[in-house]
Amino acid sequence: MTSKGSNRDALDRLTAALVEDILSASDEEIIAEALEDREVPAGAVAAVRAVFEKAARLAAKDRLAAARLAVTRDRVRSASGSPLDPSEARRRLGRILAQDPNLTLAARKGQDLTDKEVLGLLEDLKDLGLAADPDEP
Amino acid sequence: MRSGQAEQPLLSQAEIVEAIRGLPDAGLLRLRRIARAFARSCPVEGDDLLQEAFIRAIAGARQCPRHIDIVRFLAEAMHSIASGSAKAHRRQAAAQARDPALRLVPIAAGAVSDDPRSQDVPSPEDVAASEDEAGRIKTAVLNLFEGDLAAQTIIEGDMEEMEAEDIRQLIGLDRVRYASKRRLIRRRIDQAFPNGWKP
Repeated sequence: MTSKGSNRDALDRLTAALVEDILSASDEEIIAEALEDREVPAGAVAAVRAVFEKAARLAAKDRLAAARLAVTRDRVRSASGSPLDPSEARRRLGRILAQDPNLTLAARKGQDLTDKEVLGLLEDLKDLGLAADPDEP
Repeated sequence: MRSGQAEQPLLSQAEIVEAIRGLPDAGLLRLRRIARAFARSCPVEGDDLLQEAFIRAIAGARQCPRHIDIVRFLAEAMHSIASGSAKAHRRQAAAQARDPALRLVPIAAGAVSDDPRSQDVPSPEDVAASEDEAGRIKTAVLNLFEGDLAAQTIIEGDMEEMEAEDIRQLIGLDRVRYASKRRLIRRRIDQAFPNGWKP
């Protein structure tokens, strides 16, 4: 048989083939193999579930950290008076409008407004004291 | 899903979590076996590899097409993590060999980038050393099946990325005996290399 690529690649391809065999094995075979390896299936299953729950906690922690960072950035941007980018302005307008059923239908058609009109509307709402973003702390 | 609403091509993060939580015992055991198989070629433990794959799936770093089985999706994630981790480890080992003042530290799965451009390129000597080691491992694997020509042909076929069906026809086994032979190969390799590819 002629050699294709490096030895390292060959080992990787062997591993991939072995994994493919694990994927195509029946459930009964997988459980039988655990028993052959003197694993207690219930214990091994509980261990995998524990790995998953730990991963879920870590992922949630990461999401929380990312959300906190976004809030901090938003505060810094608000404090510095930097202009909002148009898509963020549109999102903010949407959140404000969603909170106030008294605003007119025309004002709710944010999709039809130009970026300049969206920013202007936000400024008008701010002047009227109606620009409190429900997602802002 | 409400009628008239088009089905999204990718599973949402909530659907991924639900799919993993809903896996039967055999599905979870299968994931663990896959993690151990991929861990053989990298410095990360099987459970750590599995945990990192779960995190990437839950966090949306990898997206799962709706038609892909969740176990296969996680297997592909582990493959990618293991491959990135192994390459980074080889580069780190090579850098240490060139400069012994550098200390070799374990690579955390989560700290590994899958992007090969983010790492230094190993020297030709490093590549040659890695190749020599991989060659010794290949020989050790084939020696496990000395006298079993069919098994050795299957392993060589896998290493050459031949289709399983083509290998089966080459050695002339029926499907049942072929599946049985493949299982024997996998189980013997599991037993001979429980802690990674070591010649």
